[in-house]
Amino acid sequence: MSKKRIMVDGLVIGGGIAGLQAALDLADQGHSVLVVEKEPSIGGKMIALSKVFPTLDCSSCICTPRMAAAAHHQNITLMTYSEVKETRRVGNGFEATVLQKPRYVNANDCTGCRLCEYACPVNLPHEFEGNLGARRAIYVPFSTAIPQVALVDIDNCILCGLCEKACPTKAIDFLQEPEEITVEVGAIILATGYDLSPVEAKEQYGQGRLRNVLSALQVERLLAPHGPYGRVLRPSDGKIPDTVAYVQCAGSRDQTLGVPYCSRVCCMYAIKQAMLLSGALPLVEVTIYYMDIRAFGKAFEQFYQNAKAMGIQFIKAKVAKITEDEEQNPIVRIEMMEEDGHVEERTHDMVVLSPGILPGWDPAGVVLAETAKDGFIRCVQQELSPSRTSEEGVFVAGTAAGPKDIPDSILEAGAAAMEAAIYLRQNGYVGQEREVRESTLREAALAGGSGR
Amino acid sequence: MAVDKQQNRLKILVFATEACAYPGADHVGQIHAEYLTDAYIIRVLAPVVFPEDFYLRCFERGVDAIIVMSCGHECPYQGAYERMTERISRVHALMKERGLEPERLRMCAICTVCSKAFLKEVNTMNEQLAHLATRKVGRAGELRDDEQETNNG
Repeated sequence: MSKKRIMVDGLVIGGGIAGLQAALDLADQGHSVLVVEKEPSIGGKMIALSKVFPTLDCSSCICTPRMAAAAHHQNITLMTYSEVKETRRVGNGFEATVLQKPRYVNANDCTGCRLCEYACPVNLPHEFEGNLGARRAIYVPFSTAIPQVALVDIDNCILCGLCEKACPTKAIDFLQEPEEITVEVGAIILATGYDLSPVEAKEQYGQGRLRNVLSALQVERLLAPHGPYGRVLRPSDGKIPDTVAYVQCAGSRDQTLGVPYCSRVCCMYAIKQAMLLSGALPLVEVTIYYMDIRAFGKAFEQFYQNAKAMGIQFIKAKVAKITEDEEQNPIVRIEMMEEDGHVEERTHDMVVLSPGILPGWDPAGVVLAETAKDGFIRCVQQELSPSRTSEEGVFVAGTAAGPKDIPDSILEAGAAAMEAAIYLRQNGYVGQEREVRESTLREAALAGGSGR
Repeated sequence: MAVDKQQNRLKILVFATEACAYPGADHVGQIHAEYLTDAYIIRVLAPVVFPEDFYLRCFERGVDAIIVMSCGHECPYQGAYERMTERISRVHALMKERGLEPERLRMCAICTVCSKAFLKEVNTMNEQLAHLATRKVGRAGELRDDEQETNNG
């Protein structure tokens, strides 16, 4: 395992929208920043969304420019497919160990032409498409990925060597090894994002066995113009759904899953998806089974009222159980809370779960910052400095600190960048020093230590 | 290859906005989709800056069709999209006056990942031009000659 050493002012862990925004805000103030992303592309969850609420703007159209800005910023270095393994306090700053996982493709030689993909005979479910589409064992993560560099899914690769023959730049290197990079930094921003509660968690909802029960993120992909099917179809038989039901709080406010809190965004994205479904399929009937509708943000309530006016049905009912009939139509069992409380079973063509939002990463053993009881990064001064963690010089942004929507994540990223910038200045990470750092950074980048 | 399918070399100008449609056109390339090489993609900040006679001059110089690919309501310049739609209506009126088929100028909204919509626009325009050719109204150039005659006379 080879060793490399780079020096930067700020280290951002996580290259989703919050991490990118924090990196851009720090870099625009003249600080050098390293963004470490565990996935093979930056963009996080937002790049996979179809539209954002309540404006219904195209998510990719907002996210892609930020990704490109970070990738092209002279003060920002991106390390994708990499993980921070350890951080230590050294003087005023930190020393971090970053592990660059092998792509088995030389990032400097790969042109993203995807000829290797066409040559590869292995078909696998595509994680970016919520496992609804397919990818090859060697693949460019997705069409808007940054960097546009292929990687080999070595666990599923049959080592046939066809990609190696197809590659016009001889970029494929099956002997690539993980690389350890030591990074000297002045401040750390955690933007590690969230995960959804797994569908397998709830026995009552079929544990992922019901093919026409999807998670909301999968439906985001169905609704995206560049989604897996190119239109809205249900997975089991490709039928255009006539009735779609949303099951709210399918993993939040649920003590049985250990998620007592509200995930904050599910009400709004369910309403958004219902509207988009009505747009995509004019004859579709959408029903949202909810416990409470929490439309707390700017213009959210109007958005909710618009949805009602569009004919989207809102039924106050907690879904107890989902089963399916012989045609794989999901059946939801509900108690009509606003009527006489009678129990009903309703059949739909497709059911969408709004899962709970769980912390995406546990800092234990990697960064000294503590987590709260819910597993999210603990904010020590929630009221006045929400981006401060229990460790001085470590800040938090976005959903790493708790469930929140995109505008809140971006605001918090700006706040974390500002806190980090103040901390860096107080500790002398400015001026001439920066130039030394930048040149070192460039050398490291030229030596192939970073993603493009 | 896409080029082989082409018989008469047409010229379709595509004005693609920097914020949405140009990355959208780029996305078409990223997904390795093909379309005829007669579409010339020009990156613009906001197409609203081009005056009405700009379009007419384009047609005069032998351009067969123009597609304005805007950001739609997501346009970063406030009011530019609405003014652009008004401008296109005025250009359509001027085109009719000059005997140019209004089908030759289209406006649409393309987002950064709207690769299918992009392909549909370019392909539809190609079909439309082929249709106009069979109706023997001729290409813009021929019409222009007639027009010049009448103007001279």
